[in-house]
Amino acid sequence: MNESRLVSLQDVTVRFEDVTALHDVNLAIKSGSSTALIGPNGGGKTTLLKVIAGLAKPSRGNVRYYDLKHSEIGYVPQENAVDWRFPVSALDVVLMGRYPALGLVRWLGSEDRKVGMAMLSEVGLERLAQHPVGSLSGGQKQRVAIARALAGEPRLLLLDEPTSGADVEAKDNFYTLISRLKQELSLTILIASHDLGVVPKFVDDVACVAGGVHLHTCPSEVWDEEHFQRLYGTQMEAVLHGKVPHRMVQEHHKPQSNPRRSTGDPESSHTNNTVRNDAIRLSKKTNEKSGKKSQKRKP
Amino acid sequence: MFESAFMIRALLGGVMVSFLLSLLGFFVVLRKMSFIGVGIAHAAFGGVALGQLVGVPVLISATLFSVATGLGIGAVTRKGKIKEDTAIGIFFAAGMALGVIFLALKPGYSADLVSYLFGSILAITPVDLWVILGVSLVILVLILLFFKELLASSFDAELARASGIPEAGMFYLLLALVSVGIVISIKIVGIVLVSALLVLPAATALQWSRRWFFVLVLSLFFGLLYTVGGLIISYWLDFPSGATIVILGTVVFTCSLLASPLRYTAIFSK
Ligand SMILES: Nc1ncnc2c1ncn2[C@@H]1O[C@H](COP(=O)(O)OP(=O)(O)O)[C@@H](O)[C@H]1O
Ligand SMILES: [Mg+2]
Repeated sequence: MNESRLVSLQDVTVRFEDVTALHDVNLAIKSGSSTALIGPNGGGKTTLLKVIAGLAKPSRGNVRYYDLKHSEIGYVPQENAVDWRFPVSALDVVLMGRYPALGLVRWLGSEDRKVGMAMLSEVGLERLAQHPVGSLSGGQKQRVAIARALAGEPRLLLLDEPTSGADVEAKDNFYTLISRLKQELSLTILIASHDLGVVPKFVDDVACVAGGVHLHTCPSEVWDEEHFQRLYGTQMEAVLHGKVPHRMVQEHHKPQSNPRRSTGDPESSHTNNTVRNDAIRLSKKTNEKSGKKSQKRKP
Repeated sequence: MFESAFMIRALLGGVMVSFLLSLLGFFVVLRKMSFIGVGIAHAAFGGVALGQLVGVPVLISATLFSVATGLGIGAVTRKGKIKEDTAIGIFFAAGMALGVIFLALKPGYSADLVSYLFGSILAITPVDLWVILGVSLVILVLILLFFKELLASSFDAELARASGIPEAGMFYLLLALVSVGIVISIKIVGIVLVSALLVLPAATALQWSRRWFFVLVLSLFFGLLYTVGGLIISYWLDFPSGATIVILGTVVFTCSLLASPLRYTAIFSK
């Protein structure tokens, strides 16, 4: 019954000194799903990803991992406050993704190098493998970070605003890449993003994070930019729940034949409900992808 | 010059110490913790004075003092309550102040203490050499065992932690090793100057390469160059050895900085 879930959050509250970043969040991440986290700046997207990655401790509530080891979570941070003059090549950085699985004391072998190079070519950077990582462009560094996460052979990939600063075409390419990787490596993906025009086309679910988590189903018609703007206004900041008149789903409608297209009236297919337990209920419904877990992974 | 036994001992000790400090300095500089060496070394002064006061071997009391200081600075800054430079400034002064008090409590004049402050190659005994060798080997083995974790934690601590590398453990391990490394080096280079030998080799090496392996090898090379070169120059010119080593290093570093194709200026800015 739970085998389709990877992670679930129960009543997770995260408080920093005087702000509550997340309040009573309930969310289940299903194996094989892809979920976009959207929401205003400061809404708690990063905090939510950090909680799942084990980098932030909930002040209250708990996070459960279902047969998912820490090393099977790949985390790609929003921006790392890293000194890019650090003397490592792109491949060195990717190989760091192998360290945890390798364990202490043991050194990298040729197998690790093969995996590292394979992941670099997955993101199209094999030719820059030996370049100092600091000499790469912003988008390339981002892809190195993804290759690093992939090198740890994760089952769950957490991406925090991976395309901020990229132009529309680059964003589209990026999400196409992520979709391909998801298929090839049977990943489960959670992606925080501001790309309202792009990201909904590539994910199954959209969750709005503004202190709490609100889950939407996401047929592409609903989430095309025009519709979205009609619904929410042009400002991202307008996506605050409570004020906007949008309606609710109780169920996760997903026709088996074509999961990306909705048959119903788009207006009626998303929710205003703060899906406290819906998120978990939804996870029990959609488990057709859970079989992928056992699939052989590409090296 | 090689006829004199003390000079040979100084060179042997200098080679080992520079190798050790360059290796540790590689991580210290990459982590931009260069200032911590100053704090640890000066805190060791309290340990040296305490050892002389109560008659405990100075090596033991100084090691206790500097390891406690190194880990203390690390813990205080990691908890995020105090900034690293503030913590270093406080620990540094407290260690020195304790040393001054211990010194005042001890009857008579401690000529020996001055040699700890500025280093004295004349004071190196064969026993010192064996201690330096033994401790260096232990530190070398530990660094080799945890090299990749130390590297990944130095590059991006949060990402290291996210992927399950014991990043906090690596941080404290490095601080402990640096503290011990500094203690066994102060007899040769002195408390006041030891941190220069920790920082200068890696800072120079970073001017010449963006590959960690070459940076590491170059750090060891520059460390050796400064120490051996400095000792030889000080012998011929009859200059104080520690100071000569540091000045040589500073000159080579400055030239490297000016000539560098890379200009690794990150060492100046946090
Ligand atoms: N380490 C921290 N210390 C204090 N407040 C924090 C910290 N991290 C995040 N916050 C606060 O928590 C809230 C959520 O932040 P964040 O998760 O980064 O939002 P988002 O990623 O959606 O922009 C913000 O109000 C932010 O200021
Ligand atoms: Mg964020």
